Amino acid sequence: MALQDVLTIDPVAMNVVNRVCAGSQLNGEQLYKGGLLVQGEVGGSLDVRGCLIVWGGAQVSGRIKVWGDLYLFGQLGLDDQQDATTTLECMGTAYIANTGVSRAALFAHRIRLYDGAQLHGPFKTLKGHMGLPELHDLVPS
Amino acid sequence: MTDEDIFFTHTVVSQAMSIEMGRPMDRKNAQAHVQASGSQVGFVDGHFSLSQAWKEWCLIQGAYPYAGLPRRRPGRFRRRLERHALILASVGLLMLLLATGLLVVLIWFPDLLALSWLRQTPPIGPKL
Repeated sequence: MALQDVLTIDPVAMNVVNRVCAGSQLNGEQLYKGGLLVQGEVGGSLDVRGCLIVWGGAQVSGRIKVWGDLYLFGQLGLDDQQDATTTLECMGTAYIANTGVSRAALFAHRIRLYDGAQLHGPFKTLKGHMGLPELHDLVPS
Repeated sequence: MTDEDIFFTHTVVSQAMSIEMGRPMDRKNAQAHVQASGSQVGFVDGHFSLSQAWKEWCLIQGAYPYAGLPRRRPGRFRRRLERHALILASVGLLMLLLATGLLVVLIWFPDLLALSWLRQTPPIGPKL
């Protein structure tokens, strides 16, 4: 029996207070104070002050900055094979699930991949001082 | 969050749910991660904590903020138990009530049950 992981999404515990429903399309400059659950299509310049959950079948494109963790079940980037216009910077951990597709440049502090995840774009792990400090972390002088 | 915020978060965003992520790509690390057990003590600062496996599965699953942290999917037997947890709990409670009732009956009304033969049984041993 293969080891499978499950993720418990509790919007209250994870402070996911924003949601873009399936069938919705948002474009432009957006700022979300708190986590964001995307089930539709979001593009433009996004600043997510929390975690970002991209649901299966959803699409996120543009210049995205996530201050928390990224959970990718849907698609990051446009439908091109490699979307050069989309970049995502994640200050936490990027979890790319088995249904997740990334066609964009992905920068994350930590990255965790699952079997079946598709990475068509480059990805890069951020260095320690570029991410958010954690408890007991020492600030380099 | 106020109660109002929690209400709207639950109704507008979603209730808590679990979703499958798949099999981790670094399977060896994942297996070691799951099989690791016991406590972890930092030799430098003396910081004590339970290992991830214990945090996830055994002791403080209800208290530990497991939301947002991927964990190993429960096995088939555990999933079956969890799916029928309400029935199992009800059956257990019913059995407890039945056992208590039977005990009360045995104590207060021993003659109602077929235990009167105990009193009529001749004593074992040679007759004096």
